[in-house]
Amino acid sequence: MMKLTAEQEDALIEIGNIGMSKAAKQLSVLLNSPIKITIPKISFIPLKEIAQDETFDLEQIYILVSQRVGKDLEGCSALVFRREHANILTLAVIGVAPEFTQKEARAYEQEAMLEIGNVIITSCISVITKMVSQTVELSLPIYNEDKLLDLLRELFNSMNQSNQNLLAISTKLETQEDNLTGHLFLILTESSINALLEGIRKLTSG
Amino acid sequence: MNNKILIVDDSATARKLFKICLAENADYEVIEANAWQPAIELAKLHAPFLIFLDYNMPEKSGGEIAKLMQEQGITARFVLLTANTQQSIIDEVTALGFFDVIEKPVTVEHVKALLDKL
Repeated sequence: MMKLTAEQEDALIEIGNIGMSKAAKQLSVLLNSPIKITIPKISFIPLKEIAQDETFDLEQIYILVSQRVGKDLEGCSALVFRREHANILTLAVIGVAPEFTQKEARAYEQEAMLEIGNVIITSCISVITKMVSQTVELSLPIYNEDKLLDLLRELFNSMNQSNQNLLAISTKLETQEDNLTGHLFLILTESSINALLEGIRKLTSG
Repeated sequence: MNNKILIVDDSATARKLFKICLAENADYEVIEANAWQPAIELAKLHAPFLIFLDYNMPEKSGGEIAKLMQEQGITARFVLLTANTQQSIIDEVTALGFFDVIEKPVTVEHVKALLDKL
């Protein structure tokens, strides 16, 4: 298991904070509502550690929109909302939907969530990579819905990094009225964390 | 006006990045605080002419700290240094009389432009 010094943890939290603040700003614009953001948390997988945040209900169904990150940094980023919040987000972004069948409405919602996820994830990743002069490629966003632990388990399995440790930087995003809460995760391999830390080290050495 | 600048940010990395942006300018002395209580103490002790505040911090936000400082008679100019530049936050600090807002990641150019405005 990778061990971080206090200085390294501070650096990752700061850079995570910058990325996630950009994401929060995008969400704020999309929803036309102020967004509260927590100071990012760092956790090493196993995924139960991530799910132990008291705001997660392990029996609830969540939506997860994720994008793989490749090239200079490897990992993925994921935006997670409760299933019942999807229509709030869809309405906020697209407005009142035309009369749809249930199937069409679900497809419409998925489409909206993919777009929302893409905008938010991209804004987070791009500011981080720009800061540390890294180049990344983002995959197309993928939509999934399930119980949280199952979603995260599938995500980590898809990363197929069984030989490497994974580190997650996460933050909670909440509207001021507390009617909508989401989480943004940035999950990176150990070698990518080291690359990120090296990039930060170069920045802070002037 | 003295040459002291106070930077208030709970992240040592952020404070380091900020100091680097001022490194070429020997005219200023940078004082650091990582939380609201030492920030107020140092502001009273050193009477900086400029105070940079991060917004998202544990216990109190940058806006709340500035308000406390103002209530305690600290008369520096306040600058918000933050990645969280949502309009609601800009409106909040504008109402508090902040001189400017600099969006993170901070650059030498940002800081120079701000100092030129003074």
